[in-house]
Amino acid sequence: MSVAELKERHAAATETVNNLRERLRQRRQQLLDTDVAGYARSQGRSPVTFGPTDLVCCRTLQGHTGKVYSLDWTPERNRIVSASQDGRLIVWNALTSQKTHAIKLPCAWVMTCAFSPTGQSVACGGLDSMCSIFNLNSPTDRDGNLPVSKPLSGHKGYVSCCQYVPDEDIHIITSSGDQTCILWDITTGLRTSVFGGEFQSGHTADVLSVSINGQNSRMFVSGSCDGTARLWDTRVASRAVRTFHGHEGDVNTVKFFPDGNRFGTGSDDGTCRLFDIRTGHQLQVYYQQHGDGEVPHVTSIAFSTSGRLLFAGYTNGDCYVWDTLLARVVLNLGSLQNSHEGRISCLGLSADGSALCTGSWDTNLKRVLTLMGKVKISEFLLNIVLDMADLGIRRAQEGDLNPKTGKAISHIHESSQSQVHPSQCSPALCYIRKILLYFNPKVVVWETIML
Amino acid sequence: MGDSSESSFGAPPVSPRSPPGSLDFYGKRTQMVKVQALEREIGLLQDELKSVDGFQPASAYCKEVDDFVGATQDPLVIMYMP
Repeated sequence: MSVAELKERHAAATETVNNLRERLRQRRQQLLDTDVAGYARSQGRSPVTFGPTDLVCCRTLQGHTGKVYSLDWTPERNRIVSASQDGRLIVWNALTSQKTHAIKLPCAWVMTCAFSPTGQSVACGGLDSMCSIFNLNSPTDRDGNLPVSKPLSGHKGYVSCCQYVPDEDIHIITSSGDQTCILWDITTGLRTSVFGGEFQSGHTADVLSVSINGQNSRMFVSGSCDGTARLWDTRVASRAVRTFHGHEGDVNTVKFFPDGNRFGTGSDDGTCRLFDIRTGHQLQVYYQQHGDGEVPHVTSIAFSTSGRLLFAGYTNGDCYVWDTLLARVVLNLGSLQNSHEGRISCLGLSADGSALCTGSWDTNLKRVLTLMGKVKISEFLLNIVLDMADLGIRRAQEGDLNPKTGKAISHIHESSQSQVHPSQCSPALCYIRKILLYFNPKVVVWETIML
Repeated sequence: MGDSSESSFGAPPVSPRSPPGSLDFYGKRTQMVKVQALEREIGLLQDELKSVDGFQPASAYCKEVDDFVGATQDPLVIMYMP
């Protein structure tokens, strides 16, 4: 078949896909006879109310010297692991604020961390495209550092998120800028399954988040810069079980609803949404109108134990507590005293559901980054980040040497985080939108005052 | 000997070249992969269209959410319900 014939076939197939998508959208629209809020109102549900002193910041965990990127609670004890741009993982006792471990990472550019189900080990991943496992009981080396007990190598892009498979310490799922998710066997250090990629049906841009179903650990969802979330069955890696459309921006975060039949999403389009996994129905959109025209992105979400509350962190420092049934904001933790000064980058609820921990960046140093066009992502990004470390955030200029090709750059593609839609971004730019560097060394724990 | 050495240094450096047509070949392969991905997606979308016809309206699933939330204890909610 000639190239011309292939192009013709491509155009025809594209048209068919678009027609089918439109038919599917219309059919789904017909089935949306109400949303959760409409149904709850029809049932006369009362709103949840919080006073300003009902949910208070009880302590600030101070110790990181860079922005906090990620955090995770251990299931059975009150411990938290946090990952920071300072290149360390810190394990905290959330009750006493004491640090039990400060792990210096071989690669400082960490983006995500996770506690294992038994609390014996922690995992992290980042720009080195690796997921590193640390056994907290291992002896330290001569320099006092905890060694990596198992490096999981195989992603071809940064590792954006990781989560251990519940009830096991031997499997972990990672998402990556290489558009795939991987299920790993930690014992062997090998990939058990790869979800998505060039020859499979999967995400078509960076995958930013994963969440494993707490009711059925074979199922997980992923959120991506392609604006979709996808549901996967770990036994069938070749294709996603379902694709969830609706968002008009990167899906930065996904989290299963406590009943296991639904999941929530948070996006650059400023909305959180609730999707049904069996039907693909979008059951609710959670969106608060902002007066200034700037729509803050949702960075991280978590549900309370019953699912009645949805905590959502935003890039403008807001942290809304949504009443999921009535789709109303109950409280903005970002407006309370002792709250963060910058964007909320991560949050998570303790296993017993009584405490919330939030991590933050400082948005005061917002910069516009400049990047060049088509460059392979992995090597180039490391160069950019090293430039950032040495020089602050360095702007590429015409005449600079492209670290990939060694040739002078003749054209600069310039945009800012807020101006660029993900569909218009090169993979590198798409990613750089995610790593504007800010510093705010705070992790805050919120919990209820038990009367 | 010296002359031949000099002449070999003076010659323009030989750079490896791709065989003719290799770029087209690569473009063709990329195009083929794209077409195959689209055709796979057509199959998936057709399957999904068929399955959507069997789904109940959203209200059935909204009821499930409402029932679950109402039946599950929540340390962050229980104290504050009016």
